[in-house]
This record gives sequence, structure tokens and C-alpha cells, in this order.
Amino acid sequence: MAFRKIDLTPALRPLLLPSETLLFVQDAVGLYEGRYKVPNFQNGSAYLTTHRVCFVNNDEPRKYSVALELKDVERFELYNGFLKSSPKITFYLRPSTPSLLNSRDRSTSRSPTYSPVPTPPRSSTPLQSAALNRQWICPICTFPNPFTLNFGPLAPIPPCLTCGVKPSRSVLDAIINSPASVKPHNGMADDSALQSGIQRSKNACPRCTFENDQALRNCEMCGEVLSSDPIDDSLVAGPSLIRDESPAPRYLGSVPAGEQIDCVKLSFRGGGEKSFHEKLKGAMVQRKWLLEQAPPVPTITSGAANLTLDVRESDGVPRAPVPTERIVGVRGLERQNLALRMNNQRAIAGAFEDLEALMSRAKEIIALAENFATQLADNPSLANSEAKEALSQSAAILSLRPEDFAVTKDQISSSSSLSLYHAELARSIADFLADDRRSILKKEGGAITLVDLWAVYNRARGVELISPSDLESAAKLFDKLQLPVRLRQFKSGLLVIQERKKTDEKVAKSVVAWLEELSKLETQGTTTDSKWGKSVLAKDAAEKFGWSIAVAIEELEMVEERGELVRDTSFEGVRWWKSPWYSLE
Amino acid sequence: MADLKDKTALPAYYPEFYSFPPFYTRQPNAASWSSQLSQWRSFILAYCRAHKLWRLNLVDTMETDLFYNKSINRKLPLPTIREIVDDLVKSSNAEWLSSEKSIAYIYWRTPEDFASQLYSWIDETGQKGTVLTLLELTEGDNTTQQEWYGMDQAMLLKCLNILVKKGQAQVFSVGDDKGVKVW
Repeated sequence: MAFRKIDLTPALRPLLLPSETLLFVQDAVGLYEGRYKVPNFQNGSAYLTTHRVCFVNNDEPRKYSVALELKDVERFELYNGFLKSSPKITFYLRPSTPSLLNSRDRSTSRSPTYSPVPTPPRSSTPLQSAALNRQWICPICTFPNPFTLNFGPLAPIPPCLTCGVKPSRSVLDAIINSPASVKPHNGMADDSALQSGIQRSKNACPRCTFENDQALRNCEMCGEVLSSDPIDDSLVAGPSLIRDESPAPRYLGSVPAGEQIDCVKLSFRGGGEKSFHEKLKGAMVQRKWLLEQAPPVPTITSGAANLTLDVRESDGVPRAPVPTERIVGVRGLERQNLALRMNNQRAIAGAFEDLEALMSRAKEIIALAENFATQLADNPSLANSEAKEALSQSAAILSLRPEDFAVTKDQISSSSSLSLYHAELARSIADFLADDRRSILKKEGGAITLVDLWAVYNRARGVELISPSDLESAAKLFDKLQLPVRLRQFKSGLLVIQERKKTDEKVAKSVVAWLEELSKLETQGTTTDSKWGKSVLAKDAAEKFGWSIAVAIEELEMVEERGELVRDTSFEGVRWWKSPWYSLE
Repeated sequence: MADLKDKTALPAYYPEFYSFPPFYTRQPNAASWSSQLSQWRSFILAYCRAHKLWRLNLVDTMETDLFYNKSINRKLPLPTIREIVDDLVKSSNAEWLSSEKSIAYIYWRTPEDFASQLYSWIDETGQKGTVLTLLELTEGDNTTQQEWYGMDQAMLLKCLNILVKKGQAQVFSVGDDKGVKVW
């Protein structure tokens, strides 16, 4: 099947690919393969992105979460539900080529208990990966046409874009099968698959010998089940057969031998199917995944200098003056640096010409900014720390991908209550806080007030700002969703968000240890009044632990609440001492 | 009483916490407060005993060494003092003079203790059956060594009333003064 296991963020949302954006979320969704419910995938959330449909189960999400690539979807259909049958969206999968190479994908993507009927190995990588970037030349008008994305051995032959005449299949097959510029590991598989597909063009009935269409499973003449070996079957079970069928179960009970599962259903038990369908339609029209011709997950944060070179090559930007003869030594290095610098300059100049260009070059510019930042940081002679900070900050902001974190109300179906929106918001906030690139929580000493978070989070979002009440509602769901952060209310009512692992005991222990350490230093220095140790102000604690003052006060009061600190209120303010009574108890 | 006391030469009845600044702040934490409270209770009683204080005017004593440690510049605030004395009242170690809670009798011994002390002293000195005035008991030359010497009259009456209840004494008025007969 085309399902793949997916990675989840710490907050248990699907990890999005670099250019992927989230379109819609719906909870209370069940998953069907063919017409069978998939065990363990019956109560979860469906995430529609520009590239995929992801399913994350509510229980054991790390184990039971899969994604379906939209590019594998031939078409989809909305079923409105009837009586007790929930509304469903059926995804008809593109017939894909069987390949032993790709069976590896399958085994990782599916648990053994997963498939209700033994299904022959099917590839999750459709053919078009080979056909992509290729052209076929119209024999009539010689116009070089691109391959349509869904082109495969069974797909209808597309007409020439200029003259409208359909070429013969052999023309297309010749191009597909030509080895040039096909990626080695895919190419092999696709070729062999194609060959078998072509050979299987006739589908003779074993009883009456009528040559049926290759897509049929039962003989058109006598109704005999057309036996076919598994590999062929997977090809036979093309969309041409299923297309006219209803998604509703037809035969109940016995599974016809060799039945293929070529459709996947999402059952919307909590409603929301209409909006999901709308968004899906949009996604299928836009086909954002076509833009992504680079390898699936390019990492933004890889070595900046290398990346700029890579990008340059793949973009086909003419190379900066490359020395034709090999120059070695310092001069060579200088030349190289110069070339790199010129290229960087060009990239920046190009990127800022207009917004479109900026967007398309975003990755390149981010890499450059990060590169500059690291260069600055490495260079001790550039001691201007302010500039350094500004640059590294701007790099950090550039590398923000607000779409990772921004959940908007229109991504959530209106049918489900606000709580789903808040749950998703909570997850996105948790992701935002857990994001290593920003390490917001670390900077704030492990705790951030809700007010500060609101400001930082909205700044990162930029658009579609959230209201404070939404943030509060979302934060209240942290515990329920078992996210790595938690909302904590101090005695005074101050709300902070904290790492889950940062418990009160740990904070108390570190505070007391710090006080002890201070008093040790004190006794070494002066002998006066060392009996009671040293006292601190909330300000000192804030400096020491990186808390904001409000958080520091609250944390100290928390430790006081445990009895390990005592306070001394005087006109200077409140000083905190290690409690002499605590150990007495 | 001496206002300036060297910290190092504090009398033994001063608790060690006398120099601990948080001692002068009412601790919000219940556990800390109960420790702090018991320290304060025993300190007040010990202080009153050492200084032969019978009644405590809270506002006046606020400025004395009892509640004011000048060396660390910390003063126990009045509401906290009141709270502590309230606690003393609960355990009958103190008694409010009026409902305004500004002056309190401090019993660094319970009235029963004083009563039995009085009784045994009268017994030992062979004055059973004789009438003694209250002034005689608290201000007389014979009682200077006794713990109740200088005791407030009203307080003494309270202690004697315990003996009266037991049927060991009788209190009657002699003109303006009051007399007691113990048998």
C-alpha cells in the first residue's frame, strides 16, 4: 500500500517536509483499506497537507501513524454517509508497479497485523518518479511535451499539447525505458515493471479463452474469475475497474481471491468531511509536490557553504569564474573565496529583487545568513557583539518556518468544536517551544510566562495571530495531550509554561544547592554572620537561572511552600534564606 | 533594661534565631511558621521570666530587645506579635487584659503553678491561718527571692482564686486592700 510510516514531532504532529504546509486537521477519523477497517487506526486525527494525508492515531501515536502521498492518489470521492455509515472520503490509488526493491518500504510501513487480506507487494513509489523531468516529442508536430505526472503503463495516453494528436504508446514507452538520466535504483525497478505490464496486455479467460481487457478480474463472457499471478494482479487492479464501483462494500464476508486493496478510506465519524474534501480538492489541483524536485528532505541546516554551492548547481546559475587551470596554494584559496563571495552576492541581489524571487530563494538566503552568522561568531576580531547578535537573530528568524507552527482556524473543520483547534494549537506551541533552533525555553530558564510566550509565538507566526484566550485554552490542554511541556499555575495565579521534566523538586534542589554554594563562598570570604548562610533576592535568582523576575519570585515561593526557604521581608524587599527549620523537621 | 546588648554576650535565654533575619518575618509556609512560632513562644516566656515582666504592652515592647534586634535591624511586626500572643493565650500562657488585645498578662508559669508555689511557700513559712495582704505577697521583704515577687495584683488574685476553688484559701477585702488566708 502506499502508506508510509511517518515521523512525528515531539508534540505528536506529523513532521512536515520542508516545503510542505498543513492545510486541514480533522479528528475522530478512522482508516479503511479497501473496505476493511484497519485495526489500531480507528480513532485518530487526519492531517491534510499540501503533499500528504497523514493519519495519527490517538492511542500510541508513535506506533500508529501513517501518511499517504497525494501523488499516489489517482482520484478521490466523497461519500456522504447513510444511516449509521459515517461519511467517508475514498482515495483511489494510482496503480503502482510492483518491485522487489520497494518491498522494503512496505515492510517498514506496515505492521504484520495490518492487512486484512494477504496482498502482494506493491510499490509505494509510483512510476512518475522516473518519468518526471522527461519529455516526449510529438511525432506529428515535434513539440517536446512533458510527461503528465500520473503517466504509467495504464494511464491514458496524453495528447500532444500543441497539436492534440495522441502519440502511440510505443513512443512514450521508448522514452520511459531509455536508461538515460534515470536514477539507478528506481530505473531498474520501473523498467522491469513496465515490461511485465506490456506483456500482460492480453488477459485470456482460462475457461472460454476470451481475451478480456487487462483490467478486468472476471471474464466478460463467462464470468470466470481470471486467475492471475500476484504481480500481474497488482497491475490489473487498476483504477479502470474500480472507477465505476461504489465505495460501499459490495460483497460482505468472503474475500474474493486475489482481491486488491487499491483504495483507502477515511471515515469521518465526527464530521468535517466536506471541508476536508474541499481542501483536498484544492491540494490535488495545486499539486505542490511537483515543485519539489530536489531529494525529498533537504536539510536547511547543513553546512552553509556547501549548500550554497549545491543550490547554485541545481539552479543552473552560471558558475562564477572558475579557474580553468588548477591553481594551488594561497592564491587558489583566495580565488575560491572570491568565487564564493561573488556567488553569494549574486544570490542576495537576486533574492531581494522581488518578493517572488525571495520566496523561491529563501533556502539559499537562509543558508547564507547562517553562514555569515557562524563566520562572525568564529571570528574573534569582530568583537562587535551587538552586530553578531543581530545577525544571528535575523538568521534565526529567517530559518523560522512559521507554517510549521501556525495552526489557523480555517485548517480545522468547523464541525468539530473549538477544542480541536485548541488541541492543534497546543501541539503547535509545544513544537514551537521544543524546536531546537530557537530553544526558547532554554533561554528563559526552562519556564516562560504565558504573556511572554504569547508575544514570542505571535511574533513567529507573523500572520493569523492568536488571541490570548486561545493561547490559554490551548495551554490548558498540554497535560491532556501529554505534550513535553506543561502549564503551571503559581500561587499568585501567574501562568507559566515549563518543560514537563522540570519538576518542583528539581527546581527546589537546584535553588537550595545554589544557596549552599553561596554560603560556602561567603564563609571563606568573611566570618561575619555565616551561621545562617547567605540570602538572595529574587533578582539574583532570576540572573542565576535565567528566569524572568516574575518567574523567579514564583519559583522561590514554590520552594518556600515546600518549606526549604524562608523569607525575610524588610524595607529592601524580600530576601530568601535557606530554612533552618526545614532540616529540623 | 539595657537597650544595647552585644550580640556575642546575649543571655542564654535568647534563641539562636535572634540573629536570623527571617525570624522577624511571619513565614507564610505552615511548617516553617509552626517552628518559628514555637521559637517565639519560648523566647517570649523566657524573656518575661528573666525580666520579671508580668504584663506585656505590645506597642511598648515592640521597641524593646524582645521584638527588635537592632544589630540586624529587624523588628517583629505588631500583627505577628499579636498572633504569637494569641497562641500563648490559647495554651493559657497568656491572657488578654481587654478585647483590644493591646496588653496581655504573660504567664511564664501557668496560674496553677504559681498557686501551688504560693501554697507551699505559705506552708513552709508557717503562715497558714494568718491573713496576708496581696501587697505583702508581691512586694514584701520576705518574698524577694520568690518567683512571683513583683507580680501584678490582678494576676496574683487569679492565682489565689485557684486556691480558693480548691478550698485551701479565702480571699477577703481589708479596706482598699485585699487579704488572703490560707489553711
